[in-house]
Amino acid sequence: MMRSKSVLKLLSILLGVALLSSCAKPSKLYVADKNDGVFFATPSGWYHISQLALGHLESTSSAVGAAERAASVLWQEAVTPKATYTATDVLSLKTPDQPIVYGRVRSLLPDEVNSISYNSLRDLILPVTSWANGTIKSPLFDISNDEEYIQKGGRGVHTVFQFTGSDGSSQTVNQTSVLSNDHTTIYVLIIRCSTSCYNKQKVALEKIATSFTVRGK
Amino acid sequence: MSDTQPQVAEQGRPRDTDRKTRVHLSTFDRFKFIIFFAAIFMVLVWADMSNNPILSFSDAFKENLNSRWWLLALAAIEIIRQLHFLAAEIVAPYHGAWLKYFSTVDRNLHRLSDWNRYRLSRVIKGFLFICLIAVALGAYYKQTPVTALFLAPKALWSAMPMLAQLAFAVFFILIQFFAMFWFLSKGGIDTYFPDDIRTRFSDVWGQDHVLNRIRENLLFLESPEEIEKHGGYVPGGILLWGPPGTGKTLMAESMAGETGKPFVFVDPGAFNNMFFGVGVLKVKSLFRKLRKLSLRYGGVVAFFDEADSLGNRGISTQQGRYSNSDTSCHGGTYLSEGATALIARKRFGSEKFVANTAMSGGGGGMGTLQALLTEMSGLKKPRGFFNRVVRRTLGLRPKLPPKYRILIVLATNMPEALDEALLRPGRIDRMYRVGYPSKAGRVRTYKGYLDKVSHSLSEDEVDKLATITPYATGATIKDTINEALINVIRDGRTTITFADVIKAKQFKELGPAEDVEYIERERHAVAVHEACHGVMAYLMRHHMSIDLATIEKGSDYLGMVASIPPDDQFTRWRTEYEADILVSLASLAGERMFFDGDNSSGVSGDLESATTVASFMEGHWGMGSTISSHASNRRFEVGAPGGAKGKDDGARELRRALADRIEDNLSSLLAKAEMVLRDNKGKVLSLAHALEIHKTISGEDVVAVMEGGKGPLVDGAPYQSPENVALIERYHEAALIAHKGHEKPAVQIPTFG
Repeated sequence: MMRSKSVLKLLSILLGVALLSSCAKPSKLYVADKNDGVFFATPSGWYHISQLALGHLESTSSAVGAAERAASVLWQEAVTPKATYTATDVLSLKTPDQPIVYGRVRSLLPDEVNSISYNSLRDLILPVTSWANGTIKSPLFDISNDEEYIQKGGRGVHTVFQFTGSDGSSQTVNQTSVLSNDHTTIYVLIIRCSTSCYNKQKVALEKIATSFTVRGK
Repeated sequence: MSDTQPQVAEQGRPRDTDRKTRVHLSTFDRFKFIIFFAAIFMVLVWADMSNNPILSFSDAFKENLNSRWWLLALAAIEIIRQLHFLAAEIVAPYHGAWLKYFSTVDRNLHRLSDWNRYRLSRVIKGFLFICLIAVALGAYYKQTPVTALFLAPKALWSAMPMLAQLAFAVFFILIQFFAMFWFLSKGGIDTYFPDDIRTRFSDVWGQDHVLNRIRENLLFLESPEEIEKHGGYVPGGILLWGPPGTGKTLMAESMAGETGKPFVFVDPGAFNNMFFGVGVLKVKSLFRKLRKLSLRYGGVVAFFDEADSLGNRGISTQQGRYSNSDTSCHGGTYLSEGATALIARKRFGSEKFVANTAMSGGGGGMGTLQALLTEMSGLKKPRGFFNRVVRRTLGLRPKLPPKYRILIVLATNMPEALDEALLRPGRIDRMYRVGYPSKAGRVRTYKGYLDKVSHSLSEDEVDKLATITPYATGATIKDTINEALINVIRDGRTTITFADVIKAKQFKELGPAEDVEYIERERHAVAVHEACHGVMAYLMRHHMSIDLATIEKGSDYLGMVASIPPDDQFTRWRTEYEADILVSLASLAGERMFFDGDNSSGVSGDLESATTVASFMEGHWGMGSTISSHASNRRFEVGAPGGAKGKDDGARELRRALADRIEDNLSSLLAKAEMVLRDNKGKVLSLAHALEIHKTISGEDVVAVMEGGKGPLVDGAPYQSPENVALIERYHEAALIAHKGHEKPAVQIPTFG
């Protein structure tokens, strides 16, 4: 009888565990492109921005070569804690008051394959190198970190810089660009936010940056 | 005692139906599914972690808890089930309530008929299967299951080219097998149409009694209504059995020629199959052909030559019907069927059939015989796709098949090797023994073959020829005449004489002589040896007449006296066997008498045959001093009658051991032989003289020497004169001295006339 009771207890506990554990939530939001071997994680509770919208916006852009680049995108995904952000907020340089995390994988165009360098990796969204050299006059600009970033799937640079945009507000960009070992693909993670917002959430945002893992195809 | 027994029963494990609670599950059974689900869950967690390098275990675990909810649900169901079991194990009323519930459900379910329940379960299973497929397809297409179910045929259509390719590959492989089996199942069967065969019954000689019977069968094949309107049926099978060369095949051929129906000849080896099942296919295709032919021509004859190649399944056939065994000259027909079968089984089971069974596997084995049996008796079931399927689907009754008139003829010289089931009435209705042709038949056969060549034989000579060749068959007669013709042509002549036929017959029976010359004293010894046989045969053996006597050395004899029965005789008597033994023993008696007690090893064969016959007389044929059959004694291991040594009374004396009795019989016959030869010493030496001079003489020459008449080769008159006999005896004396001294005889062999 004792044995039956202990079995009963055990079964009840198991049932309780099974029912309760279904309410548990993961501590992070994991973003991954398993085909291309790219991973990063943001705090849980953040929102995804529609991939479709991102793709559509880029392909309809009137900028030179934008359509071509859009065609070579293998994967892109944006995550933000603010539910109202859209693709336009992600792909413009307007200073956001909440962080925007944007990951992207793109195969290189033929002429890019020959000319790609760490500098061109730094210059992916803004002419950081020229600003730093002073060849182009920059609005209030400062690089707070610049280091080589080596991963299993490739190597590149991790750069953190602040600049003041045309609207006069300061924005911090935490950018990691990795070139695949076979020089055909680049993997990019961009975290940006207004400088005050960035400084406030620095630890969390840098944690996102360090979670960026490129395993390659 | 009576009190303890129920207690013992109570202590035993109670029946399931007697229990108030459920039987306890073992711990493993209780947790096995939960452990299984947990293991699957951990595997899934591990798979996720290995897919995402930044994923922590706790997050992977939590993520899986969310995404694999169905696994948790299953686990929860399992846990609830186990709780239910546990309750049923502990709480009797709970268990009772459930039992009651299930029995109600069961009762309700069983209101449906078994067939309906079966169909219902089939529908439910089918539905569940489709649901499962739909869910799996839904997961694959990332659509709702119902949509996915409609998407699947589209995918199937787009996969058609590949499927067609696959189908072609399968077809390509299968066609090779089909083609191989098709080719293998052909052959071994020849069909002759009425005009192809010229042989008629009049070409079969000496088997009139069998022919008359076969005619009856053919009559029914041609006008079956005659018997069928009276409620009978047409006999469908004939077995012809008998020694080789007696005309079984010829008979079948003439049957085909006579009927005007197609004749299907099945080769003995037709059913030898290299692959399992080819024999069966062959049987089926054979019968399909037979049915077709019988419909088209109103009947067909199928002939299986050497039917023993069909084999058997290891049981001997009943011997009663055609027992021709040497021991029972009147057959076993007066016995009850059971007794006959017992005797046959015992005899063949113990001796012959071990070998036969082993053979049957290779021949028609591997299902062929069974297929043949089925086909032979299964001619009345509805056939054809339309008849069986379409008519039945439309609710019509299948048409009965037409009456196929198929006459099956089996021929064999080993009927005991056939399967018992093959010979049952309905398959084989009639069995005819095709034995050695009668004398009239032999005469007819000789005439038949002689008519084809140029010859000078008179009626009497042909008659005599038939008399002296009692076991001649159509085949041997044809061969003898042909041999005579070859000799005639070699001699540059064209006409066959009686002497040519006799010479051919001797050549066929004895083989070619070896053309060795004996030295004189040995020639004389061989001649005396054979003369003893000859004189004894002439004087004592009246049931046989001498065919020829020779001292020409053959391959396995030095000389011989061959005898033949003058009449067709079917019983043998004790006096005849005694005469046979006397003739055999004459050589030993004679050699001892003429050579001063010496004798050669040449008598070994004679003694062997004498002993064999004497043994059979004593032990088998009831011609000795006891009655019981040694054959049965040996089979049942009861021992032969033979008393212990010692006490000497009359009855005991008669019951000595078998070997003693045989020896005694032989000794008394040897003494009798000596007496006969001593009384006919002159005759023996005269015959020996004739043999020495002529080497080979015919039976008539022997008679001429004995009686002083004139034979074809020897004139017997000189042997009647005492002077001549005295000359011969003197020559014998000289030969005897030469024999003793191993030298040349001093006296030349005398010649007369």
